[in-house]
Amino acid sequence: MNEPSDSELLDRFRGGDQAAFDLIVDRFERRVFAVALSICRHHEDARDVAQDVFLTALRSLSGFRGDAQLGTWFHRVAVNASLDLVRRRRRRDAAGLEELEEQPSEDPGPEGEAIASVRAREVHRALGRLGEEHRIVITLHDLQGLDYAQVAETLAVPVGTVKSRLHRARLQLARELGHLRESEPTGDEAPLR
Amino acid sequence: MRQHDELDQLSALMDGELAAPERAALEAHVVACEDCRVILDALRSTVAELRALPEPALTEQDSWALRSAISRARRPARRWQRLAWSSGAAAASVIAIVAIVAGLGNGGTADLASGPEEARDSIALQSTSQDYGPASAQQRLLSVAGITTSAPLAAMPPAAGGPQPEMRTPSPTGGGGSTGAFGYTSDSAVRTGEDASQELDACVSSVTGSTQERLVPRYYEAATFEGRPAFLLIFTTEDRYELWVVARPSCEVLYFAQA
Repeated sequence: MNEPSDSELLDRFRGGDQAAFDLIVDRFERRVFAVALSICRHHEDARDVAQDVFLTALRSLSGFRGDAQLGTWFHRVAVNASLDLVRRRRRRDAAGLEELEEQPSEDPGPEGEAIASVRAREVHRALGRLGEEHRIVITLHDLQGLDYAQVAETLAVPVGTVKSRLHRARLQLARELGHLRESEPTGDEAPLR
Repeated sequence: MRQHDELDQLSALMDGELAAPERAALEAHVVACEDCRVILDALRSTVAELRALPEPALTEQDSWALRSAISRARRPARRWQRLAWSSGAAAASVIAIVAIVAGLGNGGTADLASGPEEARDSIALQSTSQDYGPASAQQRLLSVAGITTSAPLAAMPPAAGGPQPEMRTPSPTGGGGSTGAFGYTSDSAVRTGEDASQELDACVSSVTGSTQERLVPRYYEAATFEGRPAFLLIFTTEDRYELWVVARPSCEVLYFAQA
């Protein structure tokens, strides 16, 4: 039996079928968590963001009547919720308030605990050293598989911005991972953040 | 390695995001340009390593916690504190809802109602003559948020030409109800008393549940949305605004946007 499409699940949910929402959760929870973890770099924060995203979905998806892709919606809300949390955390840190133990950006994160590959840890560390904007486009395009237009729609930015950020982010990663020598100019004159 | 414009296009070439003429021209260039080939190889190796990363694991405990939170949210919401919306001549104060005249959808200044973060003198909740659609609702959100932007909001647009949900209850009518020139219903009767505040209370509860911090709307308005009686509720987190348009009195979500 074919799996129901996203729009079929939505229709069923709007018709009162709560089990359809459970299937939506099953379908999207891993990618929501992955996006949140990539931005927050903290397992518990990512879990909290994922809960926030799906509780928002539970209350608002009944009003989802358009042609927007459900996956795009989840990505967008996950990115926004993650950035909210990161910025709140940054403000708390700046205020000098006591904070939960943070994992530094160079740490591969809790997912690193399950990664036996040393190289994979290096890749995660390099990702952590990217600025948020660059890490988000890498996550959405290279890890989540969205195309440029979908990333642009998710982030509400022009496609040209996505292209530029993605290219710069990859160049920085390529240097950090040794695929490019630091001395090689890449046409990327602005400093990478 | 010399600088040249083609270097900036190499990611797009690799991703198949160039139009055919641009792609053909760049591919021809790459054949002849060692610098570009070096960069392109580096990009391919980098992306290959990224795609080889294992997907982050959601633990069983995480999944269970998520489903528990959803389950709790599904339970009927307890009656939220109605102190801020007590109506009538009682000592408890309510928050003013200022009638928003039609034409303020362009974000013009208006004395917008504020949420019950502080108690205010009571003014009866009244329906307005504003019939919102997605665009004007977004304008209201941007106006409350004080944002000037041309970028699209994270919103769920209504399906063009799609079936409209049936109203579960008749529109409230008052002594002065009339149909406006553009097909919306103007209810000039002032609806005071418990009914309206109970509706608002119920809808805020259904939107916020019992687990979110933002229980108090920053802004709310009773109006219509595409002809249906509705509340516009705007909540804020620290730096994000959420607009919820919910039908009255069913509290069905009609529209949602973030800014």
